[in-house]
Amino acid sequence: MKVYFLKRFLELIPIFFAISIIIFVIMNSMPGDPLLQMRMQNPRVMTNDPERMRELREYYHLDDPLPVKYFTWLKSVMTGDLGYSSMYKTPAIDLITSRLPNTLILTITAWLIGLVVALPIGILSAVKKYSAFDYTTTVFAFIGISLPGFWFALIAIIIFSVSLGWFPVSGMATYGITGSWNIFIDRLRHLVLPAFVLGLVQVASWVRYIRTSLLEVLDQDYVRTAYAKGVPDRKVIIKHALKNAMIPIITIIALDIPYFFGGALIIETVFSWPGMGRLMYNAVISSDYNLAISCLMFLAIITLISNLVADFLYVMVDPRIRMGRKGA
Amino acid sequence: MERILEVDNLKISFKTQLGRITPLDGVSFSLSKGETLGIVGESGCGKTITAFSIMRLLPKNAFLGEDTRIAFRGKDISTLGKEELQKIRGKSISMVFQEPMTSLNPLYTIGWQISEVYRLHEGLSEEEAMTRSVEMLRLVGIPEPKKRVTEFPHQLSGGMRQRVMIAMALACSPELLIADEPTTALDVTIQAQVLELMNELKDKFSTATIIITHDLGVIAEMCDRVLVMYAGQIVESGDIFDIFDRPMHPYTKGLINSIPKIEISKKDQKKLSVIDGYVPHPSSFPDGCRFRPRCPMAFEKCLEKPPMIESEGHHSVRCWLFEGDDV
Amino acid sequence: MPKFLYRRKLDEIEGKSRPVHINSYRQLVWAKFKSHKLAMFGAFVLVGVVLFTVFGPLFVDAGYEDMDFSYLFSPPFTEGHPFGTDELGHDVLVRVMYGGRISLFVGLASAVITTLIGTVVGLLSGFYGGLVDRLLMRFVDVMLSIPMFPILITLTLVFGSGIMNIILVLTVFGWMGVSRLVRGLVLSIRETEYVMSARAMGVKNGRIILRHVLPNVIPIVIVSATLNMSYAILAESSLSYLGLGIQPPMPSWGNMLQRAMNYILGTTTGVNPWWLTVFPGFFIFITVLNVNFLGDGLRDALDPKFVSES
Repeated sequence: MKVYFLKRFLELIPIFFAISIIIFVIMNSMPGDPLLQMRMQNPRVMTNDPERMRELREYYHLDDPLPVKYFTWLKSVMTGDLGYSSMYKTPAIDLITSRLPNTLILTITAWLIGLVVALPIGILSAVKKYSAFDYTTTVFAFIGISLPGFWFALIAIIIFSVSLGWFPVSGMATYGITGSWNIFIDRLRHLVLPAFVLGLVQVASWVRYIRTSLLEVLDQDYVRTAYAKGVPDRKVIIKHALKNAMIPIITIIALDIPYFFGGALIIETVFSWPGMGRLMYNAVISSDYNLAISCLMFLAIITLISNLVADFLYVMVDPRIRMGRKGA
Repeated sequence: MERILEVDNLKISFKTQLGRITPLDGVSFSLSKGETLGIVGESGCGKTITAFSIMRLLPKNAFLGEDTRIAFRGKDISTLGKEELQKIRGKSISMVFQEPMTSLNPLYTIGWQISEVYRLHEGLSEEEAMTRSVEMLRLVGIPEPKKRVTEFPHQLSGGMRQRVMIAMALACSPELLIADEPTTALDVTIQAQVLELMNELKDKFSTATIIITHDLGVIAEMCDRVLVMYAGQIVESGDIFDIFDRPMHPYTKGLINSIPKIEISKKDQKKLSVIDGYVPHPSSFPDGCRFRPRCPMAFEKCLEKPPMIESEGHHSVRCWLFEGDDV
Repeated sequence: MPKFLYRRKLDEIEGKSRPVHINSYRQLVWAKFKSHKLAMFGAFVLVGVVLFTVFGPLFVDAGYEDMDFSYLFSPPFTEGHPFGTDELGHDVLVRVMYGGRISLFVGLASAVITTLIGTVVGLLSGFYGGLVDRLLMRFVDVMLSIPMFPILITLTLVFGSGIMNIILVLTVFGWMGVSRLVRGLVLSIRETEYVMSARAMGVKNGRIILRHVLPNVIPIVIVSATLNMSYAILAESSLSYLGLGIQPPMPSWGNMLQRAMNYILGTTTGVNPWWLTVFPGFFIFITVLNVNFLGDGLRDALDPKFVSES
């Protein structure tokens, strides 16, 4: 098993390099000269002096050949130095780490909501294939994957915040609330709409996937063997089928974690949630190249980690991988 | 001789999005205690569906015919409810399937899978069930059963997995064993071993057995009586000597003739004989005699549906050529 | 419950289903597609939407820039403005129609381009295999697991906005999903006996790809194209909503929603112009939904092994 992990981890290293190269290429393709950029955003601090400019160019390795630039950049990324945000005038890494917890709160809650809703519905749909329940669920699932996330969010705000007034329109907290219980409730109220919107959109694709996975397993020979042995229906589904279906389901649920970050970007923007997604959006809107690239790099690393997490979970469930695939 | 199984006018239809398909049309046969019945035919003739329908292992969109009756030890099981059916499956009637590679659950040890039958039907505890499972493994000729019992299916070879399947099926000493192409997916040498094992065990437990196969060699090895099926119907039935020595139906003759024979002298060597044409799909069975388009002996009467005509010694055939031969 | 037959007898369905007579693959595909109710519905609605956006403007005098100052922020069904107007008096219906043209065009173009590139890459990679294939696919796998949307918005920094640029943004990485699907299929086709015998007979690789592999890959390509299109429409509207896609004054369903967001809490006169949000978004939703229905129906119809229970 350790061999398996080592192998997977080593496989990710060249991938990491490839991705970093791509991100680097994107970064370098961005129009505009960084020094001019800095000058435009900080006219008082930046000089016009050509001599000074040349020194700065050397300091920032701006005129080095591309490979050198790449490795310098990569080195600083690996040591945690993600550069400076021209918009916020703070190191990018600080901005990201300060917003990350907010995004995590949102993402994890949405993920949990998604799981709790999708799993039972998906399983029931498969078990009651072609029934009215299944048909309705399928239609809702289609609706879910076709809804533009931001539109769903806007409609939700119009209905629940503006018309009904149940939840606040935006932000993560209200200013000026005192008392820990009140603060907790206030935070919760702010969390509900964005988390549900983010989670429910994911539910749609998960429900279909869970249904398909379970159906595929139910079609397998060993399930037929279980029925032939006289095992009662419920036991066949839970003990024989579900356990096998869990393998692909767990993989997808773990691998989808990065998508929550992606979806969070839009949701955070609509709800003005102070998270990493909104940070990235602000970066792009104000052409803060460095910050945008830093966020992207961060996302890439999170993705690679969740790949490893998925591998880990996969191993836990499937004895064939655990034992290194002996036998015929 | 007690009649273990009586299948009467078995008709199965499937309701699909494209309409109704009837792959099985009026199959009738019976089986006595200790007897071994072979069902032979090409792929798509309905033999597997016949096997599955006894224990009703067919999908939800399958429907039984109006007058269909499946009597196990005298009682009609075709109308049994879910719970009663589950009591019979694995205990009184068992099945062995074609693909040992995929018929065992990859996530449970083989010991667990065999003992499941004991826990379910005989109410044994986990320990007792496991002990019995080890015994069964020994019985089916798996070496070091105590060790094997904790292994997973992927750690066993195809032949061994099939032995495990047999162990699972015979665990509760069922009265009827249905084997669907039990050796088709195995290597030839392993085939022989498994067949020998099956012969031994079915005599030992005096289990009535149904063997589904397309391989006439297997039939010759194992069976007392044979049913030849084509396009959802039985076209000939009799004991194995009748079928092999005096085949009546042109299809049966064609099957027997197409067994390659190794001839010693050159003058005995002939070209491999084949049956022209293809097996029809259930959505387009021919009218009248279903074998007519491929039959070298077809004549005008064949446009009508031939009934089963019983000849001497319980040798029956569904063919107009034998009209008037009935006993 | 699957795999379980109860006591039902034939007379229950005797009257309700007719026997089957199918003679060719094409008949089979068409019959399966026709019986897929959602797909038929989807196809029908999509045709409606396309007609609406493409030919609708011909029936209206107004352009999407025309401002009707007497009717600012009017709700739907006001005289001359079935979908209402926005803050500058633009007619929402007209804007939805023109916006539709843009959104549909971007969606279709991206889908076609990504599918073409993806198919070619998948075909070549799968067929020729080797180290390049393995590395490429592993790379594609991981790239695909990175959330696409943040990548897209970063790409707008590189390419800028506007119709052509957005199409570019969507296609740069959009071909990867298709290529993986195609490559998977090509791998299994490559190992089939008829391809192996063709190779053994010395048939040139190119010919094998064209005559044996490609026809079998086409069903999955068609289905991928529809999925890509629905994703492209959603992505374009999201980008436009964020201000990174189609820029005003050119309308797109997405950027109409961006303007609508400014008034979500109500206007200065206390009106809640919900129609500004509802209509464009609804059209995005309807289009994508029906493209998805269509794709699902196509997938079921084109899959040779799949005949569903009814």
